[in-house]
Amino acid sequence: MMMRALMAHGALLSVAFEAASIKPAASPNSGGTNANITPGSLTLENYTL
Amino acid sequence: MRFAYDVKYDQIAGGPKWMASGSYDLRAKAAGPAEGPELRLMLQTLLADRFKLAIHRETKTVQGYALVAARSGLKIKQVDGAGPPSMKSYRGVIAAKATPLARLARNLTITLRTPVVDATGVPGAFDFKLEWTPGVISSEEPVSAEIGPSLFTAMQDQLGLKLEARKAPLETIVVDRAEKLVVD
Repeated sequence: MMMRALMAHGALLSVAFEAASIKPAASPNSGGTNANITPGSLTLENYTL
Repeated sequence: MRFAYDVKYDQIAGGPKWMASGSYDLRAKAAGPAEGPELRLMLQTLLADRFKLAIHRETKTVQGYALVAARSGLKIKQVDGAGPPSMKSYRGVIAAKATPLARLARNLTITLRTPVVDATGVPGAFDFKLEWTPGVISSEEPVSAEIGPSLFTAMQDQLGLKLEARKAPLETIVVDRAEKLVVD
């Protein structure tokens, strides 16, 4: 809510990761996906857009 | 996109065909301990940058359910100051502590793959455990004592809640533009 309010007032112009990489899946035929979400980091494996 | 926009697969429409086939590995780190909502915004920014993703939102009306109190009244008790809400769901079980009924509705949306809105009008948080026969959803399906209750029956008997068929709003993310990832 606070973030939305800040964005509405233009105080927060961009919300971006410090570092990020997206690559074609290393195991595209494994049939499974894996997600690991922790405060400040995000890992998604074998996901379609 | 499902994580970035907090939607299910069937709430994403449009876009080029390759979106359904190519799969990717993503690793991202924020400058600080960003939580879910901030991570979602960051991921939206990242997808717009790397895939040139552009979307708009549409709300359509679909058949769903309203979560309401059964005539017998609620069979679960409100809890006060019982700690943070938690909800675990696995095959045939939803177990919750200090959880508002709106969150149960969201969980049922996933279980039933149909929008469920909280129309109980009951505020506060509850402890409860719902157990039904996995795969047996409707009260109209034949159920024997050996098989156990359907989800609909268990909700009435165990929680004092029921699901009424109702039209419900469903927000959809419509992809206006997406380009294949250019790999360095």
